[in-house]
Amino acid sequence: MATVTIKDAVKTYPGNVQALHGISIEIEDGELIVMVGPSGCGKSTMLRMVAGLETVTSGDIHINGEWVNKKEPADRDIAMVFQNYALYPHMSVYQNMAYGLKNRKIPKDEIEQRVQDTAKILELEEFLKRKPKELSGGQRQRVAMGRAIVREPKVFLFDEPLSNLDAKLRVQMRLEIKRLQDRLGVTTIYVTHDQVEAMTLGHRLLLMNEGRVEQIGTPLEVYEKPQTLFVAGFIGSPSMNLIPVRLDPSGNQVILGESLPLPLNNFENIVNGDSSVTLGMRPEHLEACETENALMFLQVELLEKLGADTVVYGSLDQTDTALTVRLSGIHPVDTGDRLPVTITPEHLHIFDSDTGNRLN
Amino acid sequence: MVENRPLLTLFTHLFLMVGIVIVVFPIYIALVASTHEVQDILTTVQGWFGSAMFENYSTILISGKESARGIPVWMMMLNSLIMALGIVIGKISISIISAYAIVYFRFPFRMFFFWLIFVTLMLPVEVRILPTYEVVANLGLLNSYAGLILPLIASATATFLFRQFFLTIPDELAEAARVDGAGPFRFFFDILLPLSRTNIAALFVILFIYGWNQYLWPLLVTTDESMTTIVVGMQQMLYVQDNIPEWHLTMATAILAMILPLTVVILMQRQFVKGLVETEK
Repeated sequence: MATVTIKDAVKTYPGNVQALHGISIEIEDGELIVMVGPSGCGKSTMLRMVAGLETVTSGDIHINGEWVNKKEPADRDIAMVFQNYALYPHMSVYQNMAYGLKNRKIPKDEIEQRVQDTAKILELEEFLKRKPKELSGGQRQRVAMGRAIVREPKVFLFDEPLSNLDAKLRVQMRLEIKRLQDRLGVTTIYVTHDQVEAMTLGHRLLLMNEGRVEQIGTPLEVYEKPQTLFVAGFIGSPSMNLIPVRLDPSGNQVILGESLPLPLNNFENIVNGDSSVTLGMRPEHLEACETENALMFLQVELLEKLGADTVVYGSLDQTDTALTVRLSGIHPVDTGDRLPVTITPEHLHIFDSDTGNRLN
Repeated sequence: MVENRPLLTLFTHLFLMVGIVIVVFPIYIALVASTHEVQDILTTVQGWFGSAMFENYSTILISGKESARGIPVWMMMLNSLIMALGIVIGKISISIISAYAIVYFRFPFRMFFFWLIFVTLMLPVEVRILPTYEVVANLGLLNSYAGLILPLIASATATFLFRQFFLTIPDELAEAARVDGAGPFRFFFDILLPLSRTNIAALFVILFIYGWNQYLWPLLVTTDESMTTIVVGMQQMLYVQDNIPEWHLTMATAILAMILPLTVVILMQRQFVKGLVETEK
């Protein structure tokens, strides 16, 4: 097993297009790190740099303490699962899994043993003689993982491995990957744009945007204390309500829009020059309440009744500030209603509107 | 297309049949003529098979036709076969390797070389035949298989075809092979070559016929009778001075000249069609 250390990794493409602006992270032995971000944020590039499929413009990558910047992918002792699986179409499942071992001059009987063992773990035994095109999407996905597992590498690299599967299979394979990683304990870097995958799989998340690290933390840290506006908006579904407000100099209320004061009072130690900040409230933290306890009123415009939850879309009373509220269970509310809502202060997030950094 | 229109079906079949008749008729006439004795076919076109088939074919196969300098046709066929196979194997191996270089390797002037190869498409053998002859003669390759084959090996068409095919192979496959520890040679032989199988088969058929049917170049380079190819030999049979044109023997040669390309097409038909049609890899 191995640790992976990435220090100030920069990638510049020809034509001076900078894809990565210095990424640093220390990945512990056996840890599953999920790199997550919108498409084009550079997460796949970072993964491919660890794999050795992209050159490193500057910065250092160490695998288990060894500097690997200049090493061929095959010499880094990593295994990669690609988004489109990249199975060799003319080889049987067995040959696909054995190919990497064969190239490493591992004796035939050991290859046989390892492929059979891996096939057992992944329940692929009956498909070993088939060609990839005779398999379903989920089975191909498992073969691609088998090809990685059978190598017993120091590091697994997953590049959006589930995005070609249908929703149901995706959930199933997600659990399977999680179980497998727990069992094998191999250090893993997993790239996805799907926040649910990221939250459920990762020991820690690395959130990226436009080639920069936005936040590194456990899924719950990222959820409870997003460090930047980007993270706040990216993690959580429906995404967090982000409302521009002014901080009242007294420090015990914020002013929304022209003159709608929200008496919120845990911002004593926030110092912000021009007092213009962004207030973040997760839809699931806003609760319906009695009129006299209400912090604000929501003009209901649209409802999504999901059974387990009711998602209410609307705007704040007397303003056109959009607000989303997620109420648990089925709630007797209707379009056009004026819904009183409240929120407990610990669930409030305050960000600097200019820099996007968290203030509280 | 799934359509159920009986009249249309009838019409298309009729149309096809007429086409077949037009194509097959000359071949039929040649086949029939090759089974008659010379006096039977000098004045009229025969409509049905004669009795001299075995005799005619054994004459030309074994002892050859006197007016064509008495070279047995089996030798011509062998020459043609060696030339055709040499061209096919040479063309395919060279073009697949150059396409591999152009698609998978980054080297200076890569696109320049690609365009250079591509531009030669505009220069068929006939245009560059004199300088080529000069080169081959200076190398002392006249009247040799090497002289017959080498100048025809370079092929922009095949290089281009393989390049286009390689471009459809997802990059991830090459990357997966790199992660799996396959170097450039391994990747080529273990992955690219097996995947190109149907393309190679299609090219094999097309190029075999191309090589077999070469006329101008063999005519120039081979003066020795033992090097005559069947297409050239057949042409020589037609010019007879002060003698009866032996149409029955010429026709038999023509039929024999068709047999090998036909066999290649029939044997490789399935692979051939797959190679031209298949898109999903």
